[in-house]
Formats: sequence, structure tokens, C-alpha cells
Amino acid sequence: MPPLSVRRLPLLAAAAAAATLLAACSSGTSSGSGSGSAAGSGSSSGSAAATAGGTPVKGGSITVGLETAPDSLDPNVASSADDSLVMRQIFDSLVEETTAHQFKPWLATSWTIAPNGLTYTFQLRKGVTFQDGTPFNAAAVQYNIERVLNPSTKSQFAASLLGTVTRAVVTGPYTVQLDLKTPDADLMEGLSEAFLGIESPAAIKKYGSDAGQHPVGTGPFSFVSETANQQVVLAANPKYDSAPSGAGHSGAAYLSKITFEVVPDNTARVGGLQSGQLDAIEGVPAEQIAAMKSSGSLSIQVLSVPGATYGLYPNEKVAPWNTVTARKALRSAINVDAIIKTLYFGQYPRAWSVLSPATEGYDASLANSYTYDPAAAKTELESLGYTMGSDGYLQKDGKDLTLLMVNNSPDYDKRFEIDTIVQQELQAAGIKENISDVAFAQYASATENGAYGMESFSVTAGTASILDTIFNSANQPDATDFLYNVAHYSSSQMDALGAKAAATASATARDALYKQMQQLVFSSAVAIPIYVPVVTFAQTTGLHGVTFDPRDYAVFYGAWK
Amino acid sequence: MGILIGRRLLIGLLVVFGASVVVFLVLHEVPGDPVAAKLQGAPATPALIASIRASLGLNRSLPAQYWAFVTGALHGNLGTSYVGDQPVAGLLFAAIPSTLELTGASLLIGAVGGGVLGIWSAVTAGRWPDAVIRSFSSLFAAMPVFWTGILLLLVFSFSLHWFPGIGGAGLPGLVLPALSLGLASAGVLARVVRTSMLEIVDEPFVGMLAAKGLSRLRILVPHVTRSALVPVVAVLGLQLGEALAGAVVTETVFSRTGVGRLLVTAIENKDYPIVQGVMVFIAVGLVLVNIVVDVGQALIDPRVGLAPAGA
Repeated sequence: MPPLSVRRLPLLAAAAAAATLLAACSSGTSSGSGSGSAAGSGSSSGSAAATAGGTPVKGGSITVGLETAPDSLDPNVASSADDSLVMRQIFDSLVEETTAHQFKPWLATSWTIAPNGLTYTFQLRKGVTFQDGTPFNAAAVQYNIERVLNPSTKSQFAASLLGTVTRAVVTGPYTVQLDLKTPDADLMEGLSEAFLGIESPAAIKKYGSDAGQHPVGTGPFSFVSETANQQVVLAANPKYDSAPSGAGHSGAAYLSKITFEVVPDNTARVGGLQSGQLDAIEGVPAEQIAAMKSSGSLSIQVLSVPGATYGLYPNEKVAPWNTVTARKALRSAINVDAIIKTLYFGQYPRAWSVLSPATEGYDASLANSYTYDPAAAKTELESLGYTMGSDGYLQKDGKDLTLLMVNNSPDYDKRFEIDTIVQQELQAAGIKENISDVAFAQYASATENGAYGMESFSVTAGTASILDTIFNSANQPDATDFLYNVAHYSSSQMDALGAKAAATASATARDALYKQMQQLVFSSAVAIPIYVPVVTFAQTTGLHGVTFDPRDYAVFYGAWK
Repeated sequence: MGILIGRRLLIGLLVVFGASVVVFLVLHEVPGDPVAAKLQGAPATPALIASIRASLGLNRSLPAQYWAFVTGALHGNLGTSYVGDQPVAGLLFAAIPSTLELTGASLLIGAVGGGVLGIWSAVTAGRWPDAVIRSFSSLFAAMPVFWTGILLLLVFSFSLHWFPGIGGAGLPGLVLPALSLGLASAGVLARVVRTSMLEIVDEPFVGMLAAKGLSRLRILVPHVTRSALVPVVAVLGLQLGEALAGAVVTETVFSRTGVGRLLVTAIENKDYPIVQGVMVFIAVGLVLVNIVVDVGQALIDPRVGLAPAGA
């Protein structure tokens, strides 16, 4: 499963801190121009696959291999990454986020944001109908928003994207207003996601709890049929004429039919693509990436996921990890290159910063900022009073130097194997790492009590404000809130930088602050970044025009075959 | 015969009950937590975890959870899946036809292929066709189903393009998955048929038939085969269990929908209700098949099955 690893729920915590950013960026009556700045320096994030190939041909049909079956195609309720790939083709959102992280009109033609950041007013596109003929208007948008907000909908992810929105008000047939409790810098980004795509109210009422099996949106492709665990068939929506400005063409999609086949077996999925039974696949295993890159008949995209990279976070509430020396020793004792080479065949980018290269504000200067040196690690730990014991582990007061690694992350991207490799490497440096697959309930209380030595995670997020989410001293997990500062890092300097960045209107100045935050994370060794989560998408060269949204999901509107 | 079936049904009921208890306990003992699976790695407060746990009914004691499952199942309600909130019975019944198609076709391949090869092997015992058949039947029986499946897929679908390899509907799509399962059955059955036939050849009645002047072929095929069928039917029953287990793998390799895929996905998602529902369905299915096999044996050979021992 693609690395939609840790959800955005805790971003709510950061929202308040980021309040002024929003007001600064989008005050006034900007129609469609968002917090613009240069494109993220992501390795290959977002841009079109655009295999050059002449004039688009209409009427083609393609088959796309999915790794796992969609659970539900009701975006307001569903929350799996594969669901998003399918749903993105069916549902349009109010706004489009460009690959340069700007917000452009889509189902909303313009919008205004009150100076206090508490009211968003959207003017909606006229003349749009849902695929079932229901007219798209302010009432439809209100219905969708209120449905997500309603606790009985059990929306987890879409609700988190709405952040502090309290209600939607219809102020005209094509004007809808969102009221917020506190300003939310990430709201526009949330509204651009497929999970807040606008669904047909008539279809939701008609199908009730089966809406996930009968998705109806305004997008370029309509749902035709689904066979559970096997396939989803979409057909072009002939009436479609509401493509976002960045789409490259208007009117109906070129392809007449997309069949998503669920092909869980890696060999079958890759073989299906190579033999031409599939036109594109997601989830290329790391060991196949190199071969595909060198193949003449296939092309592959390895897209870095924006947000926080996968990293290890030593808990500063547990000695000796409360000292920079010990944390630096820990970092030097882990051979990250070996992990990348062994587990990912060198195909996943090594992470040098906690921030993904695909996120605006990434500090590229951190590359090669330290070296793997287990001997130095041992020396540094000895400087803290540890001596080598007869069992091969460093000891102090007769006790082994231990580190309890709590693993809560789902086991994809071979993450559990990282733990095992790290365990062996730490052993070489005299540190005894215990890996605990504690049951989830105990995990929560362990987190609450700080009774663990190290934790790991990655977060998919749209902006560098995730740094504040992870490192702000107010964001330490406790009994009432699970927050991302599992390192229990507490630095007034970090807090101040985060607050300043959130209040800085200039993108350049803000990025400079985010870079300082990354430098601080590095110099304090708060986190040990391991790899950059990626989304892989491979296709035959006969398929043209597939593009990727900023979240790395393939978009087939401009595709043709 | 009625008493026999009644006894078997009673025992079967106990077996299904036992299986459901074991599955239930194992599910709750294996590492992983449905709440974690539902959150998909999202961090959560202890309060949120507790509320999800309560909404899934996982906060009750194990006996209470099991009792809820059993009472529901007896009323035809297998519960609601954790992922997607779908009724388990509906998911199961939607998946059954495809799996029946697959296991049926594979058993047909196994029975016909195994029978023909086994008889041929027995008839030519000690000569080269026997040696060849024995080698291949051992190979097929020993090859893991997923391996056979991937080989068939790579050769006959991805290289030769003879059959669809992915999501193939209808008969063409059934060929390769049914073969990958059926070859294993055929391998096992061929060996059983051969052994069984060769044993019966030594029975006195065969010598008598020979003394009456019947040709070797006319003795072997109608007379010996009938007697040899008794153990074969028993093995065929076991093979159905194997085929169901193999379907779990085959459906994944060939991207087919079905009970096996449902089970695999549910296990990955820690979707307890689906796993329990599917396992009970498989247990009931196997018990019924075994009853049919017992009755079948009794019909083929009057000496079997009516004995009160019920062995």
C-alpha cells in the first residue's frame, strides 16, 4: 500500500499555530491565487508523465492494476490510498492544487477569505451537473460538507481535512460559505483533495450506506460497475466540461473506459504490465524498479511523497536519550545506506531531513551531513560513563544500555525489517535494542507514559508546517491527545521558529525558517531520518498523458491510448 | 443409511463448533489489532481507540463476543465487516460462486486427470509410461500451488498470450487457475489410483476373472477400477479441502474474486467478522463434503459405511 501512512488528524493541533499564515496569504479577494511560491524542490514530484507522443486519440480504453482493493468509493467516508486513485477520476474538488502548491479554481470559480481567517466564501461554477443529472450548486456543497461534519457519517479522514470548519451556509444559489472555529492554514489544501470531492446528494440519499459502491460525482469519469475485490470499471462522462485550468484540455476525457483490476500479487501485476494485459500499475516492488527504468517499453515514476519522511524518534523522556551526545551516537550507529541498499535496492531515496524533498521548504543542504561511524558512537557513549560489558553491550551501574523500539506503524515498505537491521547495527555499537510489537491498546498507554525508547513514523502532509506538528513542545502526546512529538522534544527555539514561520507571509522567508527548523532537528539529533516514502506508478509507453496531482495520485483525464 | 447421516451430521456440528472456537481464539491471540488496522497507522488517543473498540464490540469479554457471534450466526447474521461496514453474509455469498467454479473445475481436472493417469500407470506398471506418470504426478503433488500458478501465468498468459492472466472472466479465465489447483489434485490422485488398483489386482477375484479368460484390460478397467474407487473417493474428499485452501492462494495469484481472496484481505485488515464467517463457511462445507464422501463410498462399495462403527 502506498505510504499514506500517518493521517492528518493531529495536524489540527498545528492549525491554530498556523493561523496567521493563512490570513496573510489569502486575505483580500484573490480569486484563485493561493499561497503561491516556487515549486517544491521534490525529486520528481508531481509533474506530468507526459510521454510525448503526438495528438491525443479519443475513445481508448485502458486497464490499470491496483495493489489492493478499494474499500469504499465514498470519498467522504473512505480513507485508503487506493480508494483515492479511483475516486480522483470520479470526483472533482472545489479547488485544484497545482504541483507548484498554488490553489486554482475548479468547482469553485473564485473565493474570498475573511481577514480573520474564519470565513471562506466560494463562488461556484454554474451549469455543472453530477453524473446522475443532479444539478451542482451551493446546496449540494453544503450537503457534502455537513455530511462529513456529521459524526454519524463516521468520516475519519475527510473530517480531518475539514479541520476547524463548523458549518456550511448557502448564501446564494451558487455561493457557499464555510465557517471556521479557528483559522486553518491547511483548509484549502484539504478542499483540493479527492477525499473532499463533491458527491451527488441525490445518489447519497438513494444508496444510503451503500454509497461507497455507487459513487456519483461531477468528474470526467463515471462509475459503471464494481466487482468486490476484483475490479472497478469507469466510463468517460460525455457531458464533462469542468476541468481545472491546469488540465491542458477541456471537455470530455480522451479515454472512454478505465478498468481498475485488483492484482494483489506483485509478480502477476508486473507481469501483467510487461505482457501488455495492463496499461499501468501502481505499487511496483522496489526490486523491480531498476529493471523497469531500463526497459524500453515501459516507463516508471517514482514520486516522493510530501510530508515527513520515515524516521526514528528517540524518546527524550528516557535516559540517556535525553542527551544530544547519546542521540548523536545512536544516529552514527545506524547504517542508513545499508538499509536503503538492502531493503529498497537503492531505489527509494535516502532521507537526510525529516522533511520530504517533495515538500516546499526542504533543506537540501542536509544531504551527506553526517557519516555512519559505529566506533565513534561507542566512544561517545563511553564518554557518558558507559563501559563495555562481558555480554557485548555497553553497561552503566551493572545495567545494559537498552532501547525499547515500539513498532506501531503498519508493516509496509518492509518497515519491520528496518527494525531488525537497526537492532543488529546497534548491537555492534553496544546498544541492546528490544523490539516490541505491543498490542495497540498498550501502545497507546506506553506512548502516554513515555515508556518507550524509540518510535518511528512517516506523515503525508502538504506543507512544511508538519515540522511544527512534530516538534512543537506543545505537541507531546499525553493521555488526552495523541500528537506527533513522540520524541518529547522541547525547545523554545524550535517553538519560536514554528510560530514565526506560520506568521510569515513571504514564501521565501518562510522557507528559510523551515530550513532553520530542519537544521535544528539535525544538530540536536532529535530524529534519525531513514527513507523518503514514494509512490510508484509504471505504464506502457503506449499510454500517454497521465498526470499526477500534488499527492502523487495519477490523473487520467488527459490520458489517451 | 439415515442413522449414518444423522450421526455424521451431529459429529459435523461438533466439528464446526470446535473450529469456530479455535478460529475465534486464534484470531484474538495473533499479533495485530483490528483497531490499528482500521486506523491504518493514524495516531490516536487512548480515548479514540477505546471508542472504536467499543463500536466494534471488542470491549466485551471474549466469551461474550463469541456468544454474540454464535447467536448472530444461528440467525443467519454473520455480522458486519470492520472495513466498509458491509454485511459479512452478503460478501460471502457474492464470493462463493467464483470459488465454487474454481474448485469444481480443479476437482474435475484432478479427478479425470488423476483417474486416467492412475489407471494408465497401473496398467503399464513397471514400464516407461508408468515411470513417466509417476515422476510427473510426484512433481505436481509436491509443487506449491502458488508456484504452479505463477509458472502457468508467466508461460501461458504473459509469454504465449493463450489465456488471460488477470481478472479473466468466463471459461478462458478459468483455465489457468483451475489447472494450477487441478494439477496438484491430479498428481495426488494418480498415485492413489495406481496404488489402489495394484493392490486389488492381487485380490482372489481378479485371479478368478483371469482364469475365466478375460483380457487384462477387461479385468482392470471395469472390475478393478470399481473396487479401487473406494479409497479414491475418500482422497477426492480430502482434495476438496486442499482445493479450498489452494483457492486462497490461487485467487490471489490470478487476481480472481472469491472466498479465498475475501479471507486473505480480511486477515490483512484484521477484519474479524469476515474471517470468522469465512472460516465457519469452510468448516461447514468440509463437513458436508465429508458426509457426501462417506455416503458415496457406501454406495460404491456396500461393505463400507453401514457398519455401526462409523469409522
